[in-house]
Amino acid sequence: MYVIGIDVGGTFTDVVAIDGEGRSTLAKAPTTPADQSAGVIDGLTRLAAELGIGLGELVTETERIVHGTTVATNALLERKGAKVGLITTEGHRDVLEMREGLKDERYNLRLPPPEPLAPRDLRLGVAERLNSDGTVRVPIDGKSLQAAVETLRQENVEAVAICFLHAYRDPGHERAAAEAVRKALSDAYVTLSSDVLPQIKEYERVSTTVVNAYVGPVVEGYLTRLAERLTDAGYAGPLLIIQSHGGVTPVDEAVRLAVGTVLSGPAGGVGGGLHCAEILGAGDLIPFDMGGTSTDISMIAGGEPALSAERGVAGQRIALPSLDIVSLGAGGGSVAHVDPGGVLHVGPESAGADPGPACYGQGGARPTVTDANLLLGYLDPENFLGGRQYLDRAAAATAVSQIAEALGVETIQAAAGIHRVVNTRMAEGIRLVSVRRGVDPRGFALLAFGGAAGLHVTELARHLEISRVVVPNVASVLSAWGMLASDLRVEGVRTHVGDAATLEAEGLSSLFQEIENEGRARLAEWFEGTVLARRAADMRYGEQVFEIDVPLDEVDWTAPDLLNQVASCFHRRHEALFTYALEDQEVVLVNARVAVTGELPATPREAELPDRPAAEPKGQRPVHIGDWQVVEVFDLAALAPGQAIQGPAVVESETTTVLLRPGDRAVATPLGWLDIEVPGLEMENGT
Amino acid sequence: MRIPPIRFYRRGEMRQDLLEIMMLNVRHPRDFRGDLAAMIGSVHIGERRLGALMAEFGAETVEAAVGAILDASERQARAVISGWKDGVYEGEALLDDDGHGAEDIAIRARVTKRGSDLEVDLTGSDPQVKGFINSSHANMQSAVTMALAFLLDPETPKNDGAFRPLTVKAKPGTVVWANPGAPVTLCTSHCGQEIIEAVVKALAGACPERAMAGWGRRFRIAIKGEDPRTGKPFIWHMFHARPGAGASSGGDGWNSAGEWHSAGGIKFGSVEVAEVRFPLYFRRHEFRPDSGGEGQYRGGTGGSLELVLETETGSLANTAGEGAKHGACGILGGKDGATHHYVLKSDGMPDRVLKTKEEGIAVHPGGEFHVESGGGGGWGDPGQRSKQDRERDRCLGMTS
Repeated sequence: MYVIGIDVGGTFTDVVAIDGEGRSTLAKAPTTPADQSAGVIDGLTRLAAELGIGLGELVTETERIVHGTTVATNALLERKGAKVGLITTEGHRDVLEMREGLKDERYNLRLPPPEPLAPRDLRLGVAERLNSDGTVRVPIDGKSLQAAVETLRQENVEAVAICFLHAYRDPGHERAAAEAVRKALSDAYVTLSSDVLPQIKEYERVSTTVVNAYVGPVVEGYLTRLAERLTDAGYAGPLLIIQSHGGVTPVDEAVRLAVGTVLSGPAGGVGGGLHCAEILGAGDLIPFDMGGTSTDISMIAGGEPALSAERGVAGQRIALPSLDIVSLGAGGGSVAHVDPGGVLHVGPESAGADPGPACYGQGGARPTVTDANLLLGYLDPENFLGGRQYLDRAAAATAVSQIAEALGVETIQAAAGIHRVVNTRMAEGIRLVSVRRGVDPRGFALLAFGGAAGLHVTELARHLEISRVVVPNVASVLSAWGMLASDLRVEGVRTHVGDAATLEAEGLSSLFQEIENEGRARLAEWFEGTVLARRAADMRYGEQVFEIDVPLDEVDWTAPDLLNQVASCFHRRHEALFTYALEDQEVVLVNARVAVTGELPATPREAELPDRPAAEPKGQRPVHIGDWQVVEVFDLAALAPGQAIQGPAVVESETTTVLLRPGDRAVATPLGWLDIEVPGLEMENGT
Repeated sequence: MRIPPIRFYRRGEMRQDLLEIMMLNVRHPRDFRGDLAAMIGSVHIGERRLGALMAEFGAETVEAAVGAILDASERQARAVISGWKDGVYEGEALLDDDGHGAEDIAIRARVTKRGSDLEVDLTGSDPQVKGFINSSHANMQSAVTMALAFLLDPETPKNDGAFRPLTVKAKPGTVVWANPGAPVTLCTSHCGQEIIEAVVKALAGACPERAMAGWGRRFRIAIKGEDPRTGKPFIWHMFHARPGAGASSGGDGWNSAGEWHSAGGIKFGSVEVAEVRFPLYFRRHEFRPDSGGEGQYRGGTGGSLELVLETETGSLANTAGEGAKHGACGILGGKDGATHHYVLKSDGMPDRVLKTKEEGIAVHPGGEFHVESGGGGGWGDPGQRSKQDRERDRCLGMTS
């Protein structure tokens, strides 16, 4: 039997099957933007052909399909979501557009305000109101509700978001409104804030709910079509969708909480990182995925990916816990320029795939990171992407010489400058996911994904004092492995807003138990197997205006000093993040969170390389690392397991080129990856 | 109490005696300590990062890099400024009053632009006043700098190098540089914001496409009382019902984005959280239609708030701010934004229009504040506003 991972990217749809012995087979099909499910079926058909069987045979032999999709992300980025109406508490219809009074880019006063996903004339107030303790102040008014529903019906909205103040305390009014909406607009996608994110703070709740309404119909349409096509082909197993938090859920749940799939695409990559962590036996990793136009950076600590609820996508606030992925607008195609002050910058503008870097010879004239890397000797013009793309050295030199002239230096120095500047930006991105979150990256291993990463990671490791860099094999295969290893996951949250001092230990314990029970019940609808639950809380000091996420794994929930233990977890976390704790101040617990996960059957391990004699270098070439030096060039695919290579050297494969700097020592792993030891600063100074 | 710049830490140890003196002299010692701890924490993080830089590169290299960064910013700033039209320009902004009888207090900026240099001369501003809207020298210098920061490119680093082209002239004893002992409590908001306004207005002649209209002015209410749910005292400061932002050549101003001196940088916080933490009921909190100044591009609308005090004993309120008489300025033909209009409705008392500088306002249980905050100024001739934009405003209920 097979398990299949499907990753729909901007250009290609990658489909990977893994059989009972851990052998993987890969197929690629062009992505079909109008209806991605066509490209998926095309990919599956090609995969079947690779395996020498028909599509029908492949799917009947498949026990599980896991899918990462960018449908919701694209709808948001391209503003192609549903026409959304919002029903909300009378007198509060502008919460969404007020954005808590915040404006992006403080010093860009000419930046026009963003368009809200639900325009003001479709944001309708209904007479109703709950008090902050959940009691009813104003009962929901049927007439006012009917009037709002009628307006939305006349406007032909495709989706309706319902968000009332304090609905996290009691969903009654929202449910009554939903019933009225469903009666009048039977085809509309209807979503409630008390379902999507039952927690205090109306801006985060209404924004997340409106995004859910905006992408809901698109996600629903796509997944329904895909499920139908798979059924038509003869597939009877589960179709699981990767969520922004890294877990998977069945289609129905992904449709109900469509906003949870907004980071589904990159989440597959983080899954690949987790899979590596397991294989390497290393719990602390920083997956670093550097492509042509952008770089995704995330973090895995203690074998767990970092989550954050402080996310936005395309300027829209989404307050669900999501993988903490930082995306930088910098990659191999990033364009270098010199500003009027004479400072060299790289990106965010990119030459993209068309025209591409100057050295691609497709009409690009502006200098990119890839052009600089070529001039520095890091790339082989004859052997880039396995020889599929010839690189024009003269074109690269002409482009980079513009920078050299503006800076008044030699062309090779300008190329070295571009390489350094982009490295500095990348290092800053890694600090964002680590140091900024109170985590010291020095004990972590850097995991290099993506075609462009191999030339930069060993330098980044030096910037961050990281001593281990791992370059695994083909990233799309890894993502598939990662997706297939992802667990089913449900996130539960409940707002409490209680002073730790006035809280009863029993009350707190039963609050968490309730959320956990709900999560377990939902999971039980899809799954019989081992279920794990993890608890955390959003907490703050009495007068602070923001909360921090406090993991409560260490807490003994039956102990008499439970409240002290919870408070002490908070103090320690606060100190780690902000350098201080105020032990004598009041501690407030605002949201209780429980993540419930169900472990899916493990996929078999990948096959190891056979023993063979150490490979000889396939050639030599000069590279510029501070100065020109001639180094040996190796073929990654030819290395023997355990073979060591001392830097400086270059290791090439069909998908990436790795630069080993002086002092680096790389060893080929049993799976054919590179495991690189990078010297500390003192050692480097000595070489 | 006035505290000069003084060492709070000695050899890495916080001075407990100083902390105690300060704690004894503030209204809310616990909040004060939390704020202070956060500030000290941020300094420690900065110290750590700078230390790491020094360790990696050595002091000499770090200092040289800092110098190079400042020089580069200066070159960028000069490149921008030299694109503006040379000349001598004047701008004036008026404050409503000082709360002690002085009215229409003027800030006057005379700006000379030559090549890539700017001189801002504020010596023509009115003499200092009795109320707390005077500025200290440092605050005046910062306000002028902020005006320049808003006119440069967003990408230009806002550091000392970028501000080298600027010289500032002012006279002691004026409202922008009051003599020691004069009250200056409100100056970071007012007259800080009017200084920005006067400078930007002046430079509208030199760089019209960069000069934006005025943002709404700050007018806050603070309420002190007892929370009947806990029996504990509370103090609440209003950050809601933000005024609108000024319009610019980029388009309409942001609705309810706040005051110019923070430029959309301060959250007003959740209504739900406020209702949990304070005995308050927010009956209504929305945009205020028709408050944005007209123009080719409209000023952002202000906010509209109906707030009920759910106390069982009497409370006291005070106000601080500006803009009930002079709205945020329109520019290049655009109209001024609507002014603030705050009313207190309290049982057994006639409706009371709140002034911007009041103390000891008695509020009975169930008292209501009806707050209509000002809009931002408009940019350009209102006759040039497109039909579609007007139609859209009507459709969305931003104008009536």
